[in-house]
Amino acid sequence: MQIHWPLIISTVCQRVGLGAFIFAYVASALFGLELPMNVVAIFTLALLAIGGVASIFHLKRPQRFFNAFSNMGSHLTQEALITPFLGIALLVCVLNGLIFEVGSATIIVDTVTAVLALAFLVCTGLAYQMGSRPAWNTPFVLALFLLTALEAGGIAVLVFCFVLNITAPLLLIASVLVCTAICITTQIAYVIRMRGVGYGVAINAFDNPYRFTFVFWIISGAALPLIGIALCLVFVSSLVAICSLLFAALGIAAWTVLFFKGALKVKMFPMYSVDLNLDM
Amino acid sequence: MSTNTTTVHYGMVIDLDKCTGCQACSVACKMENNVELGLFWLRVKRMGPIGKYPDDVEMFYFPNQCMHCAEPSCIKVCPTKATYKTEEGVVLVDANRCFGCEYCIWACPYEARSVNPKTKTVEKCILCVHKLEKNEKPACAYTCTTGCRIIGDLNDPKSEISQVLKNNEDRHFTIHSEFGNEPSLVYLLPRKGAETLCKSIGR
Repeated sequence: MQIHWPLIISTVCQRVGLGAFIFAYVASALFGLELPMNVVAIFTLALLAIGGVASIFHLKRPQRFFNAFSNMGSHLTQEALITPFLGIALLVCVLNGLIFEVGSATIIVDTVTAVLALAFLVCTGLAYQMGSRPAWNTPFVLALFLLTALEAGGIAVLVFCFVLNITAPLLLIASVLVCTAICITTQIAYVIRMRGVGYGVAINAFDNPYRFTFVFWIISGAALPLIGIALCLVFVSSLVAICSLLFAALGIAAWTVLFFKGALKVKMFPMYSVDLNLDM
Repeated sequence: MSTNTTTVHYGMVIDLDKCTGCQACSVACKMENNVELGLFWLRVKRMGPIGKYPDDVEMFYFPNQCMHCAEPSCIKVCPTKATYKTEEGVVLVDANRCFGCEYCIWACPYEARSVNPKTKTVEKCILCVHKLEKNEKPACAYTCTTGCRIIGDLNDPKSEISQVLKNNEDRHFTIHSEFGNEPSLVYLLPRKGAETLCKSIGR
């Protein structure tokens, strides 16, 4: 399948940004992390905006963007409908403490924003699950959208902690490491599954044209983030955390390229070893 | 052809035994619908030849186009509702609503859709609805040199298409029916030259 770069940029931005907000919210609840959520919300909002602009470039007729709100049954419409609410919720988070104070309602605002962020990611993940593309026709797709968001989001939270001089509990760093490891394991499982998904579609990630992307992902998306987070366990370094985040984002991009390349269509007659042809 | 528009469900039968791969339907479609250069709303593809000559050779032609499904996955995913189904069961694209996100192309298992580089919208076979409205056959069926295409009302038991389906019950075949799209385009399996296909579906 053709690689759709605007979609890769937009989904990477969305996953890193929204993942950061969700992880920061969960970390606050679980570890009592006192991260300024308005700073996290600025980061999320900026990435969401970049992702939104990128996704418009994917459209052949972007001036008709507002038609996207027409079909409630489509996951794309659901995603489009969530976007303005998510944007407003994030804006409230940004302004809370800067321009106005919502006081004890902060927890409600943060919770609503985190739920909307999660719903947005779920809609995006579900949009790609389709029977006509055997590699995508699996709950792995949704799981991977959520796990990659958590992986990058967790590393982004470490960056916030180190840059803002907030003590990151060891348990937080360990949980980021665990999230990353689970994500990488799931990605490997997805690659193994691609080797035989039926309908005449069998993709070996070590073969061309997948090899370069897969190796790039192993280095950028698996090895380097894991090393980076492990280093963060030993010493506090903003630079290491920022590099880990950049590598994780690059890794998600490489992974998404592989995701698109592997999304071959079902063969019309998979019972034959050869495919239909037009060579008359 | 029936004229009762409230109960009509247009469908097509293609007898793969009769198709010779002449591509006349493909050309007629392009002429009738002014299909852009390089694009095709239907194409006749070929499976094979595979196997060992002379006794085990398999080969058949396969006209491929929109299946005008009763439960089309393209309609489910289209965020703009540009893709819709008429009351007569014909799946169409409203070029004034489509914004070219291509999700319908990804979701269609039948490779029936493409983006027109000029209009930047998605297009596909329209079953020549303008001709159906005048009780005429679509260009492909009208032009077919072997008469392998039969168009008509699937809901009318007296229609030609229903009669052909009734008389060839053992040869019905819809592509990837397991996806639940319920294609309105039914193929009649070739009696010879598609042994692997027949065996795989228990015929």
